[in-house]
Order: sequence, then C-alpha cells, then structure tokens
Amino acid sequence: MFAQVLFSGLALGSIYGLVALGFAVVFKATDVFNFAQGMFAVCGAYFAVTAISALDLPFGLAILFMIAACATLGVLAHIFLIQPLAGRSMLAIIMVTIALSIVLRAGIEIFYGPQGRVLTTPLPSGVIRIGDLRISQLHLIAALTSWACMAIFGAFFRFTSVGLLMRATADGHEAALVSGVNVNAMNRLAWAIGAVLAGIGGLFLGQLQIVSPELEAIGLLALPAVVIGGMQSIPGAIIGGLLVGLIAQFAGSYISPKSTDIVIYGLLLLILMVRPWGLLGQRELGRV
Amino acid sequence: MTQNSFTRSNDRSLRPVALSVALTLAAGLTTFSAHAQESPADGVHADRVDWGILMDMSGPTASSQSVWVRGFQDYAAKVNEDGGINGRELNLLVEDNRFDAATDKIAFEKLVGQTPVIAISGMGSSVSQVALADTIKNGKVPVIGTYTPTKALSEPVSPMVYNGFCGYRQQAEAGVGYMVEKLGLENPKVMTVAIETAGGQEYAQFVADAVAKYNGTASSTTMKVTAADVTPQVQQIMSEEPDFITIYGIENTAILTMKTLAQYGLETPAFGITYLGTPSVYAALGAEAGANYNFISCFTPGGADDAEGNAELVAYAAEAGNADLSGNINYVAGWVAGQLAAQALEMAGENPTRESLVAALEGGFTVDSKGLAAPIVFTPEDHTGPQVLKMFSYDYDNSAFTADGDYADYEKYTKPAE
Amino acid sequence: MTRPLLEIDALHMRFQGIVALDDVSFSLDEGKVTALIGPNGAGKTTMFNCVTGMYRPTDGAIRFAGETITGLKAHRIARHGIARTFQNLALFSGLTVLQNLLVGAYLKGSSGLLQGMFRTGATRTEEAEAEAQAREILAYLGLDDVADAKPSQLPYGQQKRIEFGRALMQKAKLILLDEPMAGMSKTEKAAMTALIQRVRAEMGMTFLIVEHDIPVIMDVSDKIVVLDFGRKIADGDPRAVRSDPAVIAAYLGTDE
Repeated sequence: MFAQVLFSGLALGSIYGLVALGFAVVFKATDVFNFAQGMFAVCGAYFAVTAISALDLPFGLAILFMIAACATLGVLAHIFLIQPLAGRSMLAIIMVTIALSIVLRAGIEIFYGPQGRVLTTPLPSGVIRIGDLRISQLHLIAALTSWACMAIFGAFFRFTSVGLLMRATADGHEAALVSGVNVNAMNRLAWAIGAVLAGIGGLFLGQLQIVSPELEAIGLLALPAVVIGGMQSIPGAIIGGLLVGLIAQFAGSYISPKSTDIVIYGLLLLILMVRPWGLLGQRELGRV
Repeated sequence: MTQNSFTRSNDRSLRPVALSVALTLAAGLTTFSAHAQESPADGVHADRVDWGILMDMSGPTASSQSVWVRGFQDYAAKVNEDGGINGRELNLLVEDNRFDAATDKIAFEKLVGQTPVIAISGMGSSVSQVALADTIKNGKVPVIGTYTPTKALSEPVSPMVYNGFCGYRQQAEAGVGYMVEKLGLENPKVMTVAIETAGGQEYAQFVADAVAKYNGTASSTTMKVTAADVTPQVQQIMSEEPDFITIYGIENTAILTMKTLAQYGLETPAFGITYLGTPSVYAALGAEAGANYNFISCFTPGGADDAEGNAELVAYAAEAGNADLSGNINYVAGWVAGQLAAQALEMAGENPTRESLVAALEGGFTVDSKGLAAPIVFTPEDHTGPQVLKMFSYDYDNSAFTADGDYADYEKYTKPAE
Repeated sequence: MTRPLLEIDALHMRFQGIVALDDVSFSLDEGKVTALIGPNGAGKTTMFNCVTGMYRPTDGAIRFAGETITGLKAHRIARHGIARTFQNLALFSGLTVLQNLLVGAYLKGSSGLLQGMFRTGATRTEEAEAEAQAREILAYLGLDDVADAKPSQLPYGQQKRIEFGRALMQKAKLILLDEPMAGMSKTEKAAMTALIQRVRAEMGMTFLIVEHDIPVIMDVSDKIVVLDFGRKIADGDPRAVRSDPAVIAAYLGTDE
C-alpha cells in the first residue's frame, strides 16, 4: 500500500506543482496573489472538452486550442483587471481575482450546465503492474508531462532572452521600464504562462477525474503548495506541489479521506508561523 | 422557544422584558394570521392550486434534482392540459435551495407562510430535511412526494409526510441481495462509497444491516459532494478488496469513483443508488468501466420497457422538448411524484385545504404509475412510498437500459423478516 | 548650427492643483554635460520623470533628436535612446552583473518577442554579439572580473557603475543621472566624475545630471539649469549661474 500511495501522491503532486508553478510565475512577475488560478485550471479542462467534443478537433490541435485559449484568458485578465488596478492595495487586487474566479465559475455553469463533462483523449489508460503496485498509465503520463513542462519553462526563464527580460521585469518594474523593457507585455506574458500552466494541469485533472467546476478545489491546492514551498521561489512551487500531493494521498489513505484538508492547511499554518517565507523562499524576499 | 428560555431565566429583572417580548410576538402573530386570511387560504385559488417544490436548482446536486423538477413539471403540464384537478390547475412554485440548508429553511418558510402553498414536494437536500423534520411533522403543510427519503422525516410514520422516492433501506436490501445472489457470494465483503451527507450515513448503515443478513462484513468510505479527487478512497478499495461496492452520491462522484477504479485497473462490481442511473453517467463511464456498473431503482427509465405509463412519459417528454431526459431516472421519479401529487390533490375534494388534504390521505391510498414503478401503496402505518426495486444496467450496443427480471422477483429481498 | 539633442519646450506638470513644473524650457547640446539643480521640491525629479515617460506632462513638448517624444510610453522613450540611472539604485537583484547589462541589449535586437522565446539561429547570433559587447563594456568600466556576481554582493560604487553600464548597453544617446554621487565617498565621487568625463570624451555621450554636490557639478558640467518651485530661474554656464542673484536667493532662502 505504501508504494501505491507514494505513486499516486507523486503523480498528483506533479500536477499540483505545475499549477503552482504558474501561480508563482504570476506572483513573481506582478505581485498578484491570484485566487483565480484554480479556476484557470478548470477553464483549461473545459477548453479541452470544447475542442475535443464540440469542435471535434484532433487531439494535437485540441491541445493547441486549449493552450491558445488559456493564454488569451490570462492576457485578458491582466489587461482588463490587473493593469487598471496597478498601484492599488494588494487586498483590492486579491478581491478582483476572487471575483474573477466566481465569475468564471458562474459562466461555466451557465454555458456548460451543472453536469460534469468527460474528457476523452487518445492517451493510454491502461495499468502497469509491478507486483502489487498498480501504475496507472494516465497518472504516469500526467506526471511526466508535468515534469517536461516544468523543465521547458525552467529552461525558458534561464536560457532565452525573453526569459531574462521577464526575470528582470519581475525584479523591478521601474528599472525594466527605463531599460526599454515593455513591462506590460512582459506581465501579460507572465499571466499567459500562468494560465497555460494551470490549463495543462486542468487538462490532466479533468482527464483523471471529471471536468466540473469542482476541479477548482484541486487547482487551488496550488496556493498552499506555493506558500509552503516559498512564494518567490520557482523550485519552491514545484516542491510545494509535490509535498501537497504526497500529504493529500498519505493522509487520505492512512488517516482518513476527510483528514487531507486538515493536514494540508495545518501544515500551511505551521509554515506561516515558523517560516513564513516558505521552505525554499529567501527570508529577505518574503513579502507576505 | 423564545418564551421558554426567557421564563427559565433566573434573573428576575428579565421578566418584564420577557413579557413584553411575548406580547409583541403574540400581537405580531395575530396581525400575521389576520393578513394571511385575506389572501387565498392554503394556496387554493378559484382557478388554480399553488403547490410548492423545494429542490436544488443550482449547485452540485442540481444536475439530478433539476431533472426531477422537469419531470414533475411536465406531468403537471399534462394534467393541466387534460383539464386540471377538480377544475383547478396544478400550479407549481419551485424554490431553489442552492444546496444550502439556510436557503432551504428560508424557502420552506416562504412557501408555508407567505406564498402560501397547499403542500410541498421534493425536499431534495437530506441535510435540511433532517433539520426541518420536526417543523414539518408539527406543522400544517404536508410534504407529499419527497426526493430523498431520510429516516428523520419518514420515521415514525407521520400524517404530514409521504415519501415519493425509492427508500434507502429497500435500495440497500434489494441491491445487496441481488449482488450476493448474482455473484454467488458467501460472507460477502461490501464497501459503501458515499458522499458526506445525512442520507449517505443512513444508506451506509442500511447496507451494513443488509450485509449482516448474509453474514458478511461491511465498511464504508466517504467523499465530499464536491470531490474532484477520490484516489484515497480508491486506495482504500484496493487495500480492502471488497466483493462489490455500492455508491451513494451524485452523478459526478459516481463517475469519479468508477473512472478512478478503471484507471487503476480494478474491476470491482458496483451498483449505484437510483439517482445514479442516468444515461449521462453511462456515457461518461464508457463501455469498459460501465460494464461493471449497475443501479438499483424503483422506477423504470423511459424507453426501457413498453408499459403504458412509460410510453406516455416518453411521448410527452418528446412533445415538451425534453426527449433527452426521458431516459433519466430522475425525470421519471419527478413524473411519478407528479402522479402522486395529482392523485393526493384529487382525493382532497372540490374545495381542498391543507387540512382536508391531510385528512383525505390518512386512510391510505395507492398510486398507479401505469408501470413506471410497481404500485405505490401507502397505508396508515407505512408511508415509505415505492418499495419494490430492480437492478438495471446499460446496453451500450443498443443505447438502452435493461432490467434484470421483474419488480416481483426482487420482493424477496425487501420483505421484512418474519 | 546643429539642433540641440533634447529640447524641453514650455513644459507644464500639474498634480491635482499642485504645480510641479511651470513653463520650463531648456535644451541640451549633444556631447555636453548639463546639470539640473535646485532646492528640494524644485521639480528636478518630476522633470526626469517627464523626460523618461514615467509621467505624461500636462502641457508642453519634449523633442529628442528632432522627434517629439512627449507622452510616449517609458519603454518606447528608452528605445529612442534615453537611459536613466536612479538615486536609489535600480538593478535587477536576481540577475548577474552581465545579465543586468544584457537586459539593455535585447531591446535593440531585430528578433521579436516570439522569436525571443525560442532559441532560433538568428537570436543565438544576436545573443552572442550582445554578450561580447556587454563584456567589452564591463571591461571598460573595470567590472570584468565581477561579471558573474550578483550586484548585491558588490560595493556601492561598483553597483552604480553597473547601472551606468546598462545605460551604455542600451546604446543611449542621452543618459539621465539622478544624484549619481549620493552616498559616495570622496574617492568614489572622483572615480564617478572621471567616468562621466571619459564617456563623454570617448563616446560623445550627452548627460543630464541632477546632483546636490555643487562642487562636483561645477567641475563636471558644461551648463547648469536651475529650478525653483517648478520654475526655471537660471540657465547658463557654471560661472554665470553661480553668481546669479536669483540662484543665490533660492539656495539661501532670501526673499526676492
């Protein structure tokens, strides 16, 4: 049972890590604590459902459609909600992201109805058995893809010129502006990346589970993941995601399925009390 | 209640306050009832009777409850097209509970005190049903045709409550009995997978009782109604290895459970409660996972047989633009609840009141659903409602529900032990 | 006669009734060092913010190399060739010294945002060129041995020079220095003065400097513009300005 739970925890934790990475990118770039990140994941799942079931696109195109739609959503959110509030208090901006998530949820319920949707993709859904251990191929693919995405975006920030400009912008808006960096474009790009990462996570969550607005709760596990890992730390977000996945599965299996929230948010509180800058964050950078 | 807590107080200085509060309350009540008599009493108008429905039209349970309401509404529309009941239209007033016990209570009081209505159907949320049970039993407005049969409301038998949905005890007994027999089990190991509601708890207990009859062992696991990940629950199934599982919940949680089982390559047979027997559940599961999934029901989905009532329902649903709902068990249940309501109102006579309605039903009656369910018999001692069930599965090749046997074959499972 | 590099023409800046700049006009000649001085609250920083596009002036015009740049966005103005350093350093703390300079370079590149997201052949060549250039500038500034350090690990004087280097990397034609001597030791001040003079002499760079250290200003400037309460009260070569009664009054607080 231990190995089984470990596998599920790592697989789901990888997806949480991906969504949390998107959250951290947005936070680092624009200082916005985006409560709509969970809903972005849900939107990704619904975009995929729309592309596959309603538009009948082949799987590859459907993924591209989903990525484009998520990126657009992120950019629009930045242009119409975040940018006009530049310079306002963090609280006002947080309220806006909460409002955004409520509006998105209501929109989905109106447009798609309360009924959950099923996402059918050509990804393999079989099981690999190693002794007693059952490795679900879908979980495995979700985990591997999440890691690939994390590696790609890590390389993007590290090795490309736009990645460098984004890091510079995140460091200081004013300095970036006078250096000629189009700060708004960089911030929009950050929101697009944040939404796309959430969307990819949502795609897998929607396929492993069912596509319904309730996936938001899983998407929002990115928040404790990021706080536990360290708000300003990209590796922290990933580690935080993995930890949350493992904790959720171990607590659910060894204590009780009801205990997962208590354990996760208990750890969150503990971290906030003894190490508010998170496991991998840097003390002087802790802004919360 | 308010008065009691005041008079029990030891503080003498509170007495005058308590008195004035009591007087104000009494004065308020008097004016209120005087006012109430000006509007048509008990929701009975010259040309229509107002009848309340309390269900979740939004929120996580809306996907099944709103379909039930559509079935009820369509049956009422049919009755009204045929001239109504004793010359009056059956006018349904639907209040949305929004899966929220507080909203439920406000909506309930609105239907009782303000609107007013002659009777209420639905009460879809088991949580608020339990909370309101005493209010309903001691009140004046009968609840006729419930969507969820909780113990708190239906036991002991009350002249104010008539259930309109397959009882949990009967679902557990028929389902467990059928599975044990079909799988040829001795000492069966059974697991209930339920959502965290009052109904879920009751159901798990009924399953445990039913399993005990076969010297088996029962366990249970729960999930939130809004669950989106049930891996821990499936881990539990994996480690306990039950012979079969039974699912109590909403469509989403049923699909989630069966899908996750399939992802881990588990082929544990499962049966769901009646609510979970919808075409969309089977469509979502797909032929592979769907093959392990049955549901126990006291209603026959539209199109599953050629009974007179079934044909009527399918035809009317198509006419009303709800053709896609006729195969949904919740739509059928709503339709049958409509039959129950219509019959009850007819029995209340030419000039019905809440009182005459309650009095008319007291001696017992039988609802003939024309084959959509076994005859539903209410006696002064038994208001359980539909009691005979059978197991259904889905034939993916022909896109149709199929029943295993007849209702009569299942009576042995639900007959009380002599 | 050549046209001035930067022309400030009847600039007004009002914030909700407060007049920060009131009809200020002056110009900068190419290859010269101009100082902008005045008591606190005179409008020097507001002027910087107008020129760099952080503020949009209420009225008036700013022309740079013959083009009107009034009201352009800050990053556009930077790309026109106006760089700036800040009083309280504005370096990218998460990046190395070399990367801090590279930020200024990538904007000139022909490859767009989308190409910059992937490492195409063209961007690779461009990036290699930019890096070579950045290393050259670091060597010029005597920072070549700290290229891979984080700015925060370096002494203040060196950090100032990184900012300076970033401006050079932008291939700016005009650099605005906001109190470049603030918080510096005597030796550091001398080094900074030497650097400004060297860059001006060897690259023909134009400077606009806000600085409180009057001796340094007298030493380094070709021209001084004096602001007081948002108005220009003097404009001329250092010696003339120093003996201007209006300037003395403003600095000593005497009534006019």
